[in-house]
Amino acid sequence: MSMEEKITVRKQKVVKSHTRQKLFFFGGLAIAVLLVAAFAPYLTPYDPYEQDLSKALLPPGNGHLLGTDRYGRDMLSRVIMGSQTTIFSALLLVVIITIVGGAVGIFCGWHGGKLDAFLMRVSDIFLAFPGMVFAIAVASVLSGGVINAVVALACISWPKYARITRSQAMMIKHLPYISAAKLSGSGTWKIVWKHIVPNIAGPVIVTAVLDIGTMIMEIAGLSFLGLGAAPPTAEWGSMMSNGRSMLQTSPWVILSPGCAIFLTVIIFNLAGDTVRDVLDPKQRKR
Amino acid sequence: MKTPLLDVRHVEISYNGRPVVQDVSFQVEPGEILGIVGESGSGKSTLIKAAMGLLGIGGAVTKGDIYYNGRNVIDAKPDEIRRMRGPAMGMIFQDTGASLCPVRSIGDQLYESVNQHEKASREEVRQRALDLFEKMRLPDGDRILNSYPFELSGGMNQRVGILMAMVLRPKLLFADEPTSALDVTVQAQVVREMIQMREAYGTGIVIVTHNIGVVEYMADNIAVMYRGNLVEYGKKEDVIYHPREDYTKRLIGSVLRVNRG
Amino acid sequence: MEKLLEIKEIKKTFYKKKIPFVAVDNICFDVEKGECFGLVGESGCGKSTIAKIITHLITPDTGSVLLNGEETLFLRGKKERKLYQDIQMVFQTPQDSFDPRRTLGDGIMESMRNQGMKKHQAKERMYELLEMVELPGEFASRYPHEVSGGQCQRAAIARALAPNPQLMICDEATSALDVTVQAQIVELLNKLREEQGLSLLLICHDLALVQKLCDRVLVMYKGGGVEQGVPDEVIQNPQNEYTKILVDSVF
Repeated sequence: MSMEEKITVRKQKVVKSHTRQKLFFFGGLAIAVLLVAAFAPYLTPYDPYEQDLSKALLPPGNGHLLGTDRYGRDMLSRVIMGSQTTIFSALLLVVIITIVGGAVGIFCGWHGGKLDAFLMRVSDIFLAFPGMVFAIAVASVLSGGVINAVVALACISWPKYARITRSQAMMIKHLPYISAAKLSGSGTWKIVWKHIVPNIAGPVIVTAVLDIGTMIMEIAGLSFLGLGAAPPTAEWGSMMSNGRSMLQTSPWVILSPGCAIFLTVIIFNLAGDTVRDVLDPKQRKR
Repeated sequence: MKTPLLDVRHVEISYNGRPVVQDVSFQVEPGEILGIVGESGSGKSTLIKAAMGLLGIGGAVTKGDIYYNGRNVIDAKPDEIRRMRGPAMGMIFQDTGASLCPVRSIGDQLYESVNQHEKASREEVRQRALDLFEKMRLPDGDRILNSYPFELSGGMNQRVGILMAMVLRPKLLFADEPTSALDVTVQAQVVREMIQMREAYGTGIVIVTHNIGVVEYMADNIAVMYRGNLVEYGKKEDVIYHPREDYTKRLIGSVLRVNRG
Repeated sequence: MEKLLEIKEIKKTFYKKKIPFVAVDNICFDVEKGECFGLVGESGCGKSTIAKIITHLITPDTGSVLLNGEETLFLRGKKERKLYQDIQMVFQTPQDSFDPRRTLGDGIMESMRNQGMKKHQAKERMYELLEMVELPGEFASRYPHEVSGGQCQRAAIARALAPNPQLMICDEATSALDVTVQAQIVELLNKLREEQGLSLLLICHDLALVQKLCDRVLVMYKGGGVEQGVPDEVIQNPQNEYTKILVDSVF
């Protein structure tokens, strides 16, 4: 082979991933939404509960950015105030089902046996029901109120988490590092708490963040049906329900809370997607 | 000069702009067995993936060329390469069982892979497969063709992999760690079967493995890879018994051998 | 020689969809103090099941496991944990044997912390152990995926040495490693045996490794023991039909 033999050189396109930037962007948006909800009472330009029938059903503009409803209440203030009820009850709901479902799932996956079979059949029953119908039934039995709506939705949502954590726990408990922990003299509690929980947290957190959006919709849905927040309370679902008869004449009354739900759900879903990209074990290894 | 079956010239392979294999050149003649050895991460599997056009997303040959029978396979159109995979260049994977579809019988999948490249009836393909089983001295060819991958042992699946590659009668066969997942007794049989394929059809074989014993037993030439570079390349006897490079010496010296007295 | 570990008539049956499969059938052997005993056989022959029985990860159907003449199979709770100070194990896949979310140092210190050692004492001992397995101290703060297989296996050996065990079980501890790395680990095991008087139970499928390291070997086939003896004799003059095939298969 001679020295002047030509070697072909090719250029390679390098694809960069922007996971980190995406996380900052969508995570930032989600946190901004949460901050708005947390400080809602200080952010409202008007009192969201003050009625002034002379200003009823004003269209957007003229000092009321999103117009007013039929009692003359400022829509923007009500949407901001409503975020508190809707988002925090959704967060509370997600936290409850993550903890309850996660605990049941880890116990079943780790312990196995008859109790596992029993609890899984129970979760099957909940999964077999059409979720919303069951939630409506539970909510009407418990009568209205945000807390009761949360309880009703928790009843139908925990099995999903139990399923996820159970399969993860069953997979992890056979890995050598669990055996190694046992050989290091760690007891069952310590192994579960120190080695199993942190290692299944990733997929559970991703599911939970993705579920915030869904839960906002379901809580708003129950309230829309009159099974959630009681009337004077600013809550997106019940606000939409109040405005539905005026869709043609004063569409802003229903569009304002509707858009708020839409944007919030999209923000939490995109944030959940990026959290998944970050926590994906295949990506983390790189 | 006769064109070699496979001609790898000054190849550099990069993943996402980072070179993982650098300036590697070797040739394979028809009927030759070349063993590529090295530790995990030395780039030995990447080389045969590049030759098969299977580098995947993010991987590319950034320098040099690979010729199969005088044809450049790097700049060939994807469709052209696809047609070459099988009849021209066959491949055996480390875990054939996992590379087969679990819900269809071996015979079905065999027929499909043949049918992609040539017109053949089911009966013909079956007969050809059974002939090959006989050549490999495997009994129960019929039963194997009717079974599903999960019904067979790892060793049996690996033989099915060889069979599926050989049924298209490729001139060149790539084998990526074909025996690493197998028990020694099965490994010995699989290695002997691969040698028989070479004897029967004059197939050139490139075997990538970390098992020096296997290479010592079956290869004509050996290429030693270390951290993406080809550190030593030559006749088996030279590389194993008279290694020149420090790394090769260390590698050969680390191999534990059974002392049969 | 004094007997450290005695395995007597161990039998274990697994059930898969109620179809019984005898994984270990009437296995007897013993490991003497300071000895390296090898268990060889193909995958599925039951050799790893024996390791799991000795370390209480699986309960056998019948039989007994004696450590220093005392039955260990029925130890529970505190006494079981005490057993793990005498018997330790090194696993086949080093990376999987460490919690991916905790550092190697955490893993090595876990047993010492569980014994009630103070944090700074455990740390000191951990660095000693890392030195013993020839790893630089900075590896304590690395995660399993940040180190190579060989380095991870050294850390696993350090973890196994932490409680000062009398017996270390190596379940295919070198099979997943590159040959050059394997040679270094074998060297390390040999050194530990000489310096610490450690007894080894080596479970592997590599006859050459057994011949290099072990004083005695038991060849297993389909759950049963087929031949026992000094490795050189077993390999050079195999009596059993299966052992002959096994020896002939090695290149």
